[in-house]
Amino acid sequence: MWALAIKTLVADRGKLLTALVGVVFSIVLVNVQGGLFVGLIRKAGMLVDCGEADIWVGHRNIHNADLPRDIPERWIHRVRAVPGVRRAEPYLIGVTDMTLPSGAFEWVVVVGVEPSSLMGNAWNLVEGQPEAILQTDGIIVDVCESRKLEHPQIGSLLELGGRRARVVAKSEGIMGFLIMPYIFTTRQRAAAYLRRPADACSYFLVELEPGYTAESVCAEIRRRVPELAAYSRQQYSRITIDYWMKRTGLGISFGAATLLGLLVGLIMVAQTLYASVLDRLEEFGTLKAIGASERQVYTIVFAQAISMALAGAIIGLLLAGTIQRLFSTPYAPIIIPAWLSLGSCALVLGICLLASLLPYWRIRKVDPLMVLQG
Amino acid sequence: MTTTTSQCDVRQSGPVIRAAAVRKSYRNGASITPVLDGIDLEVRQGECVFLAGPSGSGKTTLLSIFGCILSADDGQVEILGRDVSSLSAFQRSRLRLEKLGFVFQRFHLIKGLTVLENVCVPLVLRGTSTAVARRKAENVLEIVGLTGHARTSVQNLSAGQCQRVAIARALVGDPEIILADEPTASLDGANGQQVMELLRRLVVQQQRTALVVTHDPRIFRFADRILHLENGRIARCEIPAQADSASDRNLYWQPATLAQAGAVQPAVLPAGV
Repeated sequence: MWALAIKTLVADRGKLLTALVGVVFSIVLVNVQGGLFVGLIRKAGMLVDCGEADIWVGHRNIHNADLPRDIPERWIHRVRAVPGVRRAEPYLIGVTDMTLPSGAFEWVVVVGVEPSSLMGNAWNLVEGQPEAILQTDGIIVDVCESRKLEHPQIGSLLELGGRRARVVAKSEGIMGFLIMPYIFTTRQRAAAYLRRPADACSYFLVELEPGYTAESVCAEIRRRVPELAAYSRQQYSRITIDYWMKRTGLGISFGAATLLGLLVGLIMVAQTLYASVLDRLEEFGTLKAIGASERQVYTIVFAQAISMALAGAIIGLLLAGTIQRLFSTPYAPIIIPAWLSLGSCALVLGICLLASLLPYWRIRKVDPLMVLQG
Repeated sequence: MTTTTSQCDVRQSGPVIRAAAVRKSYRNGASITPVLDGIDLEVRQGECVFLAGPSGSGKTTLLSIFGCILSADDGQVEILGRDVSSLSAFQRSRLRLEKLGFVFQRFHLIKGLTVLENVCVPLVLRGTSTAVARRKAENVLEIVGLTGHARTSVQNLSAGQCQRVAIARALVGDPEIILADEPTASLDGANGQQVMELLRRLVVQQQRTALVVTHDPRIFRFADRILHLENGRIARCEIPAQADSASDRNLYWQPATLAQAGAVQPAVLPAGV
């Protein structure tokens, strides 16, 4: 029955192509648009996701990695005393102004790491070494932000918070959700750039002892230091992403645009499937006259819908993957997670099946007598 | 006209089609148009019966009722001893699929499929395995003379070839009854004759029963009986002249009387018959 369904489907190549275009369009749209959204929103949690910390400990009301509130540095000893904590290091994040060579200025996010461990330092360096920030006035900038920072080179001098800074290394692809570039340096120097006390601290970054889970250690930290919040890397990344999603309405606007495009593609598919069935009512009448049951006739339509959805989904995913490889950049990363690909396929499959239900009543009404009436 | 006992024995087994007082009307809004008005008919195994008559006389409606596609409003219809009015839609589909073979005026082959695949369709619907279906279809294609066209798309065939494919499709499931609706109407004279010769030969050789609706008097000679319908009734029953003088006499059943032909009740017969 499936072979019969597929052969009759392939026979009308024009209609098949139209429907396939609809399915492929929907899959590509959902995956690329969704991938752009995921890429953008994941930038919000990038510092958390790509940092070395298993647990982030901060002010009890923290809700965004880039916009923390200071906590007393001295509490770090209470955290270090918690079983399962291998090490805990202070971490400072804040916003300050950078004066550029042309006299212009740019707001930047300064990240200060503990010089003894360099925990939470910049990663994916393309020029220089991570330890270079230990050099006098040393900072790490990202090559993707070169244009904003007027193309600084290794050794270039800049002014951060009214103090001198010198580019000693460059990373690639560390770009936050905020439009402000990240600048990595030591914590004490960062405090100076941020015009804050030398012991200013935003987070304690915790590395776990083997055999301990983040959840159990977080719970113990919260129990012992109730003034602080402690989250696993995944939890805090999620909290940061949710902050932007909910406070900016980004999720709704992006989601609505994606859904609208998806809807257009799927309506196209549904309409084509429906028209295809209407065009072949005589064929279904013949099958009924020969002795096909309604269930068999419907199985053919159903099989055709599934075949079309699967074929379109495979082509669409390949195309979306190609677009991702060709056009994904650190500025506009396209991240297509497996759940998005599988979800879009399931959605398209569901819509195709639904679309195959649309002509159900027409098929039911097909009278085999039609083939005996000329 | 007489017939030998041996010839009659086979044919006079129980009727494979039996209709008694069949009536059918079509409703169009408030108006009701009677199409069949008390049809009584018996067709026996191995017979080739033609339904002839002007347009609107009810030929196709009667064929549709015997094909379990339409239901009679009144009266009784038995196909192979089963009262079709008592069958569900699904049972009627199965009866069509397993016991009946259809040949349509416009062939109604499925575009996009090859000749072989079209012939396989009834077997596919029955759930026959692909290998068995193909083997059977190839055998039937050999019978209808289309072996060399098995892999050809039906869109590339002539009208005569299409009708041969349709006949092969009707025969592949080994049906007991073949119902043909104007099988020569879309064909030229020569092709029409060839198709009917084929159909007739298969009916006789394979002991099937055929009911053929036709307007075409040129093919009347292939019938055992021709029932002329007028205004929803069987107006007369004709035994083709050729049947009487055919050299292949054994192919034809030659009842002595119309009553013996079992076509109609005497009351329906025109005077003098």
